[in-house]
Order: sequence, then C-alpha cells, then structure tokens
Amino acid sequence: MLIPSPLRSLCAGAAALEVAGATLGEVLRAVDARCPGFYERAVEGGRVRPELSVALNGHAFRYGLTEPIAPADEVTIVPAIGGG
Amino acid sequence: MPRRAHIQTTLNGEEIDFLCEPRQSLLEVLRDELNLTGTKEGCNNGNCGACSVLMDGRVVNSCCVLGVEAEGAEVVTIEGVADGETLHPLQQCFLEEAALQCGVCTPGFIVAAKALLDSEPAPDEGRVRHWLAGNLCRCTGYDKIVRAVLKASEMEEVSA
Amino acid sequence: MTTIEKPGYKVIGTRPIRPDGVEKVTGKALYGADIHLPDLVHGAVLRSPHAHARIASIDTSAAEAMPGVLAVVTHTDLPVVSDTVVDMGEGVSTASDMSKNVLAADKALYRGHAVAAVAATNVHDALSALDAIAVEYEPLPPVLSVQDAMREDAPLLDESRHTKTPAGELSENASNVAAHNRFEGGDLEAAYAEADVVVEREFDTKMVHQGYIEPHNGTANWNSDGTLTVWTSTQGAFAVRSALAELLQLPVSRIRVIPMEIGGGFGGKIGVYLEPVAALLSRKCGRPVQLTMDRTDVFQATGPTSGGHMKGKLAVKDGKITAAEVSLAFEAGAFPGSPVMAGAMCMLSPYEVENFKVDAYDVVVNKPKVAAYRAPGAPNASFCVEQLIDELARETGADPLQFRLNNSAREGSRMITGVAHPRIGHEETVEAAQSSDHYTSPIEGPNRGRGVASGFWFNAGMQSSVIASVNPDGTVNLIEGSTDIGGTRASLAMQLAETLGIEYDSIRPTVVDTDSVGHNDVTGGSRTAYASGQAVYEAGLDVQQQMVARAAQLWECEAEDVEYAAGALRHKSDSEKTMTFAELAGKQMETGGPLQGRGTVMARTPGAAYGVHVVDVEVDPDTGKVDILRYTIAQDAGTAVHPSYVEGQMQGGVVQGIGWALNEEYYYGEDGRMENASFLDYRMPTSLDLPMIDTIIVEVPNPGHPYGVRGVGEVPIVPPLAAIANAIHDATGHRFTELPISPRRVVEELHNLQ
Repeated sequence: MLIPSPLRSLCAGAAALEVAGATLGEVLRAVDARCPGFYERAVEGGRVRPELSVALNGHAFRYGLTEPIAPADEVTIVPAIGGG
Repeated sequence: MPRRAHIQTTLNGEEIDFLCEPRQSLLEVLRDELNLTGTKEGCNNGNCGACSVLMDGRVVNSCCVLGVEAEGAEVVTIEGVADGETLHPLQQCFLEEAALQCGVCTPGFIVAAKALLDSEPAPDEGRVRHWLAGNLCRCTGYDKIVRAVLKASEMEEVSA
Repeated sequence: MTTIEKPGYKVIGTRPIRPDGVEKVTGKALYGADIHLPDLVHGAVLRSPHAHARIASIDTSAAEAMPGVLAVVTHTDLPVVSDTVVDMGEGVSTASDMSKNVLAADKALYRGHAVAAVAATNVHDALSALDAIAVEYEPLPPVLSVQDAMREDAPLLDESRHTKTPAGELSENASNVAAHNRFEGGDLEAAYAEADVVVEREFDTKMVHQGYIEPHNGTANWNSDGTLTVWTSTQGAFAVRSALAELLQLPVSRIRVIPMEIGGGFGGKIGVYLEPVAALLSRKCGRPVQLTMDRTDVFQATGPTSGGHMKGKLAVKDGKITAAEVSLAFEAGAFPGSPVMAGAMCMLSPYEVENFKVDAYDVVVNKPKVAAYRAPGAPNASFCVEQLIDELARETGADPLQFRLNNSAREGSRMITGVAHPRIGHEETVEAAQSSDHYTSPIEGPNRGRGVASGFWFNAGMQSSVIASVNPDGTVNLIEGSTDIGGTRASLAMQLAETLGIEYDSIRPTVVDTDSVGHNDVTGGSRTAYASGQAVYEAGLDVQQQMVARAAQLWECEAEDVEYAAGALRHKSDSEKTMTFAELAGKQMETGGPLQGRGTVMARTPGAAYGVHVVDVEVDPDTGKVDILRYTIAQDAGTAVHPSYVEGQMQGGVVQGIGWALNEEYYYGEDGRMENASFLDYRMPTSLDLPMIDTIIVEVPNPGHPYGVRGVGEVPIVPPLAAIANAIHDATGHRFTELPISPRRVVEELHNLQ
C-alpha cells in the first residue's frame, strides 16, 4: 500500500507499507491496524468515500471493498477527479 | 395586460398576422406566440447573434427588434432557410464540415451567413470572419464554421 | 516519430454526418427553453444585490397578492438536508451546501445568489412580483480574493467552517480555507542545492466562465400522484435526478428527468440551479413551471471556474527537472469545492519530477460557487508550471519542446499521487509538434514571438449503459443516456456500427430520459466517447452472441460452429450457410422474438490525454493588442472515432483558452459586484479574432478501450494560457504572470505604467 502523502501523518510518515489482505477492504483494515484512523479516512458507509478513488496497479477506479487483491498488487488512494 | 397590437407580416414567405404586446421583442413573438423556437436566445441584448433573423434581407438580432416593428416587413427565420426537404447549401455544408457541436448558435450563424452569400456570393476568409463577428460560438473555435461558409459559397446553387 | 500500428477499421476514422445534424441546422431540435407544455406558467428568481449579507427576513405576502402570481418560494420551502456528500459524477458537494446555493438560507454569499422565486401566468408578471418581495439584508464586508480570504482577520463566510486535511485534522480557528492538501516526495532541499538553475515566480488568474451560448433553464411538473417530471438542458440527466432526490428528499423512482438538447456546457451544466426551484413552484401552484436565466444571471449565479494565486519554484540539473515546489490557492466561490486538487494532480503529469512539494488550498470567497469547466483546475495550474518550464528551457539554452521531451513522463512514470502512468502518448505528441510545419517554419518580424506548452488531463471512467434494439429491417436503435453536446450520438453510433460490422446509417441513436435506460453518468470528464463507447461495444457483442445462437438454431448446429464477422454470420464448415445481419434481423419473430443487446460498464479510468500546443503571436506595443497569428495543436486522441469532431473539440478548447489568456475575466468592483456581466463586456473570442486552428491528431491507442479511444474534450484548454504567455514573452521579453493578458495590462506592464 502506497500511503498518499496527505495521509502520512496517520502512518508516522511512512510512504509505503506492506500489508496482507485478500480484498481491498482487508488491505485497508490491515493498514488501519498499523495506522489507526486510516480506514475511517478512506471508507464511509461501507464504500470508499465519494471524494476518493483507489488506484490499483496504476488504475484509479471506484473499486468496491470486495475487490480481490493479489499478493504483489500496488494499492493507493487518490482524490477522485471528474471533469467538465 | 397592455393592449395588443395586430401585426401583419410576411414570415418565411407566408403572409401571416399575429397579436403582440408593444413590449414584446420579435424574438419573444417568434418563440412564444408563433412557436418558431429555431431562433435562440443567448443574451437578449444583441451581443451573441443566436437570435439572428432576416428582416427585409438584412440580418437583425430579433431580441433587439420589437414584434410590432415586423409590420409590413418580410421576415425569414431558420425555419424558412431550407426549401422543403432540400437543405440550403449552407445547411448541407455545416453538416458535412462538422461546423456545429452543441448546435444552439447554428441557426443564427446560418441565417447570418445566408445574408452574406445572398449579397456577396464569393467572399474570402477575411470577409466571412468579419461578417460573422456578431455571432458567438463557444464550441467550435469558428474554424469549421468559416470553412463551411466558404464551401457553400463555392457551390453552384449559391454562386449562380 | 514512433510508428503506431493501427487496425483497419471500417467505420471508425470516417467522417459521416451526425444523426442529429439535420434537426440542428433547420431549427427543429428542441433545447430546454423550447419546450411548451399545456398549462405552462413562467417563473422568475429574486437575487441578492449584496455580495455578502445576513438575511434578516423575507416577506413575500405582497408579491403573493399580486395579479397573475401563483406561487412564491424561499429557502424555507426546501426540506432540511444533511451534510451527506452527493456524488454528482464531476466532483462532490454536500447536500446542505447545494441546498443553500439553490436558495439562500440565512446568508447571501454572492451577488446574484437566489433568494426567492415567483411563478406567474406570464414572465412579465413574475418579474414585476419580484419587486414586491421585501428582503431585509444586513450587509457584511465581502471577501473577494484568496489572499484576502486567507488573512487571519478576514470576514468569514461561514463561522463554523474550519480547514480540513485529508487525514481528518481540523484547524483550530474557523477559516475561509475549506481544505488543505499536500503532496510530497523526494528531497526538495537537496535538489535545489544541487541545481544548475532555479526559477521562482508568483501567478494570478481571475474567475472565467464557460460561456455556453444557451442560458440555463428548467421546467418542472409536480404531478398530482407525487411524481416529478423535469425537462432541462443538462450534461447529466441522472446527476440532476440524484441532486433533486437529495434536495427535495424524494426517492429517485419518483423523479423523471428528460434531457433536452443542450446548448453547450463545458462542465457548467452538471449542477442544478433552476430545476429544484421550478419543482417547488410547481408543487405549490399545481401547474408546470418554466424558469430560464438571462445572461446576467448566468454570469452572476452559475458556476464559473476559479481564479487564484499560485507560487512555483522549479529547478533543473543537467537538463532534467529535478525539483518542483508549487502552492495553489483557488477560489471555490461561496461554497467549498474548487478544482484545486485536479490542477495539482495535472500540472506536473507531463513530466518526471522526483522531488516535489505541492500545496493545494480550497478557499471560499464571496463569488458564485465554481462549477467544472473543461479540465477544471488544470489550465490555471499549467499557466504557472508551463511558464516556469519555459524559463528553465531558456535559461539552459534548450529548445522548449526538446526540453519537454527530455523530461517527459512515460509508461511507468509516477504522478505526484504515487500512481504510475499506464501507456501514455506525451512523447509522441511532443514529437508531432516538433515535426509540424508550424514549428519547423521560422517566425520573423518585430513584436512577434512563438510559445509552446504541454497539457495533461484525465479521462473519467464511471457508469454508462445502453440498449441496442435490432429492427426487422436490419437497422438498430441505440438507446443511450449520455447528453450529446458535441457529436456523441455520431461517435457512439459509429462504434456500434464497427462492432456489428454494419453501416453507420443503420444505427439510429436516441438519448432518452432517466426512466428509459440504466444509469449514465454525466457527459463530462472526457468520458462519453470512451466510457459510453465501451458500453456500446458490450451491447454490440451481446447482439452478436444472440445472433450466433439464433443462426445455430436455424442451421441446426452448435453455436461454436457459427462465426460472426463483418456484419454477417456463417457456418464455419459449411460455406453454403451464410446470412447477413439484416437477413437474420428479419427473422427475429421465428427465432425467439425481439433481439436486444445491452451494455453496461463501470469504466476503469485509463491513462489519459496529452496535448502540445504551438502558437505565434504579434504584440502591438502601442495598443497592447495581442494577435494570434498561427496556432497548432497536437493531441493524443488514442483512436479518433470521428476525426472532424475530434478536431472540433481541439479547436474549441484552444479558442476558449485563447479567450482566457487574452481577455476573459470576472471584473469585480470593491462592493463585490461583477461589473462585466454581459457578452459585450465579458469579451469572448469572435471569428474575427482568430486564425484557422491547425490540428494534428496523434493516435497512441488507449489499452483500456476496445478501439483504443481516449477522451479528447478537455485537454485542449490546458496549454493555451501558458503557450500564449510564453509566446508573448518571446515577442516582448516580458513575462506576464497575471491573467488576462488584456491590451490594458500589456500596455501598463510594457510601459511600466502601473
């Protein structure tokens, strides 16, 4: 999990953490276990917050929390961008 | 309600009459009383040209003309530009050249360009740009509009 | 230049006439204000004359008693809504902010803020009744720039607002800064210490408007069964439905939004302004109510995009950009939600920059709440960064395009968010600009100069759904829900024709209302040709599959024995057995009934679009007028579905950028009044101001789309501001850091008259 720089204050400044989890939800929980408050910043009402997107191996998308995550996958959180 | 005037006019080649309040613009009359909604309102103060119509062959902003001024005049709107199923060369060229995106300024541009080609069958690019400077388009950057008008001017039906 | 292999398409890449074209050139197409309903009445909106004022009381009784007046509404007619974040598909707002923007609650936060509305039997009576509404205002000092708004002693728009960070921290004191984000990476100080050249400047831009020619409109009918029907010109009928559901606290199933033709949007017709007010008025008076804006309302009360203040500091070492520190503070208008984050994420994306710190501040001011505007945030941010890059290139003696190429991002390069780029085409686009006739021709003559700039914008993915219903005559009705602003009926029909291997003319696309198709997100974010195109492709495959099954049934064979190719079906081992698409379409009844394909996608955001612009200008040092002599835009379109409309997007975006660079601005008096709220004084480019805009379509297929399509609509507005400023610098030796570079500013700065 790459920790986006705006959220590093929750993770003692860490830029990346290696965590285990079979789904996006599990990965975010695993990060939260080491960076308390992280899950709540990312998830609201059972979905990734509407102002955020998850980027999985470079593809930003409104993934669901049940999205399967493979062992070498790179996950991060980015602001959601729409456009005109 | 203010007393309504009885106006007789020629609209798209047909003699018609209508009632209108003295405060109503020709644009309001066309759209709200006569249900000819092809003429668009973009600014209602003569700056954008979306409401262009021909009055006795001249381009006017119909938002700046009163309905009562149509008395005895010959008015042509976008609805009167095509000849039945046959499009005017300008209309055909606007389609072929993709000279419209949202299309809301298109009626005004076609009416204004028709007035140009009616009086000057072979304008150059500079003349077309100058003539159309009273019509705003926000989608196309004008490139394809200018090309469409130039192409139409080269068609026989117009230059003949 | 990199050679790109392009598959041979039959329909994609051709230039057919758009399906809705004839209606639009003959004046028959119906836009929002063209609808006439039985029993329709008209309304008008009372707007705040103050930029910042507490609303002590509103007395509507005299207006209600006037002849012809049928209903009056104020904020108290809106249900109480929560702070729920509403996802409008373009960004997010809270329901309570949206509600207060639709009709002001306790405070008017900008001049033109809607305060009350009237429905009457005709529009003139409605307008007269506005004068009879008594509003008691307590005026407050307005805050009109980010610098003023960020001062510690600034008057607060909302005393309960504190600065938020993504980590959930809140500032101790209340503030006009709604949010602060910081992206950091690498070691900035070390990079500056080692640099060959460091450049540092501050930049300012003003609010500008999308400037669509059709004013906003909304017509609503609150039926006696409690359902609501709304006709409107919008970029997203489903976004309007979601907003109305939230604002009026109705289930979406009770709301039907009928999208009319739309006269331009550019991001500005996603939010709602008039629709909920028309709905409230209709509920009160029991008749359909139509509201339309005039041009002044459009300027003063709909969303422009942010102006703001920017600081940038870039460093170069051995020809490589090694450090970038950029601070962006953008005006959000009266409620939070400026596109500052998008600007922050786009401005450095053409390049690889290892060491960076980017601060983004979202700042409320007493101006209309901003809305999306074509690549929102990116043009202003690039105005800052692309000028600094021009300076770095100059200082190091590099050609400005070669400098960009040497520093270009490519597949695998990381953006400031840490996300790695997929296959992108910035390098190819720079190369196309380098080898263009324009760039290889010299520019000569006094007061003339050439400038270049790169730009980046994402493609939004999001949701689309379509239905492809096969007619017995071999044609297909394509039922879709994406507003067609600039030819997407054509580009979607073309993709379906390509998928099915049939003629373009055989596809009949129709944009339908929210009851008639699955969810479609907005036409915006450069997503329609890309994402709805994917849905169309899926629907085409679905039809193919069903046809294969039916041919197998007719030929009494297995489906595996049947092949669908080039608009025909054939038996793989029996060459006698073939059938065209049309022949099988004519046998629907005897092969199982109606044939209907469906496609639904939640499109995954792909790597996005780049544009590189080259512009020549001539500056008149006496009048300050800047003429655009020549303009060339190279852009990666992935695959250009309908090249004419791709060129049209490129040219249109450039010209909006030219207006932004040279003339357009919200010009405010100290009292917070916009002093140029008309098309006469808000000076958009006319045909006379421009040359032809030359286009070079680069095609680096998008791996995320079956035909390689990338969104093209937004990125063309990103580079012009900086490209023109760079060209003016080349012509005059003076760097303009404030927009617009209007004749007055040019004369003042060149002659030191300030």
